[in-house]
Amino acid sequence: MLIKLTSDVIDVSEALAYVRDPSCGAVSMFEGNIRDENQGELVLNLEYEVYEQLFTKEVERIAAEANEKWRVHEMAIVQRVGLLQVGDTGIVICVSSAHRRDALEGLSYMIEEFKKRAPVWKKERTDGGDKWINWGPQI
Amino acid sequence: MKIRVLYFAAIREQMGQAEATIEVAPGETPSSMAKQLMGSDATLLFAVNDELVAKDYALADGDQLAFIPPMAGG
Repeated sequence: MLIKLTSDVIDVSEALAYVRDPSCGAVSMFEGNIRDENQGELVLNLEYEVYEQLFTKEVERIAAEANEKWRVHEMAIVQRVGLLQVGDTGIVICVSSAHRRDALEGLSYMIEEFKKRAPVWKKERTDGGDKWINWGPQI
Repeated sequence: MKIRVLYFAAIREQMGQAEATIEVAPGETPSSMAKQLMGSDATLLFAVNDELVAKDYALADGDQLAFIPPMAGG
C-alpha cells in the first residue's frame, strides 16, 4: 500500500500505476479538488494541515477494514499538504481489484471513512473571510 | 511530571505555537488539560503518543499529548 503526504502537485499517474496489476480488471480512483465556491462564498485558496504520525496509522487502519470487507488488491492514498489553489488536487485515492464492484465499493468506503477519521484540517480563505472547516467558536 | 503537547490547525493558531513542553500534576487527563489550556474540551479528540485515547486517559511523565480539533479531510 502506498500512503504519501506531499507538498508537491500530486502525480495521479504514479498512484494509478502503483495499484495496477495484471490480476486486476478494475481500478477506481477518487480525486478531491479545490472547488471555487463553498456555501455561497468565493474560495480563494485552501491550506491543508496534517498530523502525520496519526494520519499514517489511521489510514492503515481504514485500509485494513476495506481489505476485510472487499477483495481489494492494492491501494494508494496521496494527500497534499500546504497551500492549495482553486482547481488543485488535495487528495487521490486509488483502489484496484479483480472486479469492479470490489474496487468501487472499497474506494467508497475508503473516502467516507477518511473524511471522518483522517487527521487532516483545511483552512479556507474566501471573499467572506478565513475559517478552519468544521471548527466553530467553541473555545 | 512533564509532557509534550501538540496543537493543530485552529488550536495551533489560538495557542500561538505548534507544540510545548509543560509541567503537569499527577492525575491529569487529556480532558483536564484541554480545560486548563483552552478553557474547554468540547469537540476535541485526543492522541497520546500518536494513538487516539479516551478523554479520561491517565497521563504519564514523558507522554506526548495531541489536541485534535474536528477533522476535515477529503
